[in-house]
Amino acid sequence: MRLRKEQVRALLEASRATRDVEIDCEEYLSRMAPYAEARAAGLPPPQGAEKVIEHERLCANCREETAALVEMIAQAKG
Amino acid sequence: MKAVSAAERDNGDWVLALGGDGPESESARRDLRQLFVRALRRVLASRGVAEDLCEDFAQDALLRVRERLSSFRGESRFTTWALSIATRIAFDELRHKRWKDVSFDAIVEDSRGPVAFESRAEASQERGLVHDKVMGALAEVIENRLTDKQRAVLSAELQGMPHAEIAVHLGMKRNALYKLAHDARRRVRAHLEAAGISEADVQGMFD
Repeated sequence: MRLRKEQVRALLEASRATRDVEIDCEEYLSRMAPYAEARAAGLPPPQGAEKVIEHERLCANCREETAALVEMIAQAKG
Repeated sequence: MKAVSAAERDNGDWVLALGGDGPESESARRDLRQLFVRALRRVLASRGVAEDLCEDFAQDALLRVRERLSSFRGESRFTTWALSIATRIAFDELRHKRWKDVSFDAIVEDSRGPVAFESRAEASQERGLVHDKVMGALAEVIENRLTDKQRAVLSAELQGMPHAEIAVHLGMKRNALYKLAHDARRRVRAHLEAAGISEADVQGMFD
């Protein structure tokens, strides 16, 4: 397996962000809406959102979807 | 049931209307579909996504939202929750379009061989030693502590392949794939810790 520098970095960062208990992408989806609403309003994350934040840090796809949802909420308000 | 406009509906109105039949349900479905199309179009236009595709995503999302109506817990506005589902559907499909012609076998073929790293830039002797220690530990854990499947998933992930696509190629459910990838990351983390590699060591490699 040939690894470029940015892949090594991604792997090391993912390893560092790994927790013994994590939520998967489906669970993240079920908790994404209140998290995105808080972000769009410039508020701190809702209580109990630690696992959501940890998952977002690890999962580029969920991160991309959350950014899009925050944008949708902000645009609907504007 | 009283007739309510999209702007006036509260969470309960949406759930009640979408869960039922009749004119109010029809009106709620139409309103939600329009909301999906508008929101998706705004966000996806800049990514070059055609309007008719947003219509397709909206239609699929409407069906999915109605299927999952009972799982709405009221922790957000109903429309935000529904939009989160529409967003997942749209982005999953866009990723699928991007990756559908990529050979999974070609992506993971490399994962079977020994680990090799890009040659490192010149650094001080001390940093060079830390670098070699970290890379040695990484090579050891990838080659000898991960299963073939975990190595394949890791390789595909590092090349940017989305989990939904990897899961299809491996014939796995997405949540099972997440667990497999999570177990692999835990093994990597545990091995690095056991090798005495600190966060500062890792950080120092990229400063």
